[in-house]
Amino acid sequence: MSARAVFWISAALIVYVYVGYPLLLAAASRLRSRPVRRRPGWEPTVSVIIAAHDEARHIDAKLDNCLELDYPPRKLEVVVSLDGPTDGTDEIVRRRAARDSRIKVCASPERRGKAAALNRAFLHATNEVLLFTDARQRLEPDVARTLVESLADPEVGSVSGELLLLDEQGREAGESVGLYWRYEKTLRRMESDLHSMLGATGALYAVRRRDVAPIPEQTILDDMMIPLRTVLAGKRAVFEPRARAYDRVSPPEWEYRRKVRTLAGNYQLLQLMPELLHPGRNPVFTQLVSHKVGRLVVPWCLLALYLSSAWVQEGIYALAFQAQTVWYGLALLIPLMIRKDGDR
Amino acid sequence: MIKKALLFPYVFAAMNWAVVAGLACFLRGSGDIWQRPQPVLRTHQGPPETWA
Repeated sequence: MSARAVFWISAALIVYVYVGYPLLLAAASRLRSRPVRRRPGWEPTVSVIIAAHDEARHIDAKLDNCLELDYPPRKLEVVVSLDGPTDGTDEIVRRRAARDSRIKVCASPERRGKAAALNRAFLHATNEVLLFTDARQRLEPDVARTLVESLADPEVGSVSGELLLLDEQGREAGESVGLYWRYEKTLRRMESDLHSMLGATGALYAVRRRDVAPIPEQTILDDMMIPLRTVLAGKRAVFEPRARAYDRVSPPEWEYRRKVRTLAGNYQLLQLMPELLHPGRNPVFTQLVSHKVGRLVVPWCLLALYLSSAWVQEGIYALAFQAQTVWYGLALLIPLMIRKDGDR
Repeated sequence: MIKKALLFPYVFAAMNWAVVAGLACFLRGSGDIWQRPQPVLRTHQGPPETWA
């Protein structure tokens, strides 16, 4: 294949993933939107599932937050699955459970990972709906009601809430991390309108208990595997923006590490669930390939674009090479400039 | 506004570099991963510095 062909194919793939697919998705979701048949007032029993390792700093407030949800107390339980905590999380949780029968505790003395903790929680949760949340995020009081409304639709297998990132002043984050998150949320909403999201927001999502089975212990992205399993079983994984959780924007280096972890989880998911790449078996095959697999391919396309334009080096290819060099130069210089600014 | 525009190349490059780093982590074996941001392959070394 010639360098010119490599250049144009790489460019086309990059443009498709970031621009073409969102535009196609926007058109498709408008033309073929599938409204969720919500049932306000439906009140199944709900088990709030929290997997916790070292969460002494957050768990007390989190338990308060969950027990104060606007939902009939007799229909709500909180299952805390302790995973080898070392900072006193277990003492805090057990003390609370001794005072409130709605709190259930299951524990592993040694750390075995979040997936194992969730599997333990499944055995102890007795209610019709499992509502997954992490220890850190604060939930709005009506999340249980707004999430279960969507599960009343028998076509819906899982429903995800919305995670809002706040800055230190408590306002919705608007810098680069927030903007990226808004772009992703728009894609998720459109995918949900068309059929299904490609996973859920780990901070807040709900599934019917009968649709959940134990997940492999090494699973990184439980919040993708569990909803996608319901999709492969013929149901939908939908988005409910009225169900909100709040978290603070982490420092950029933590966000970067979280991103690396998430991306490692994407590769792992394709390994653990190869049927996701089977168009006949996966109802959201096009969305998965365009949104998730496409993102995994883009860096290599960027490299191919740069090298092919460097190889040809005439006309538009030379221009493209220079533009990319300036682009990557800015990418390298900006952090240094910001750091210098901060030092002043 | 200018600062946000200038940040974009850096964020874009970092996101795509994260894809490569994620692949490396996956191929090396990712181990026990929690929601809390931390290096993918190192075992948990205590809670990260909080913003609180």
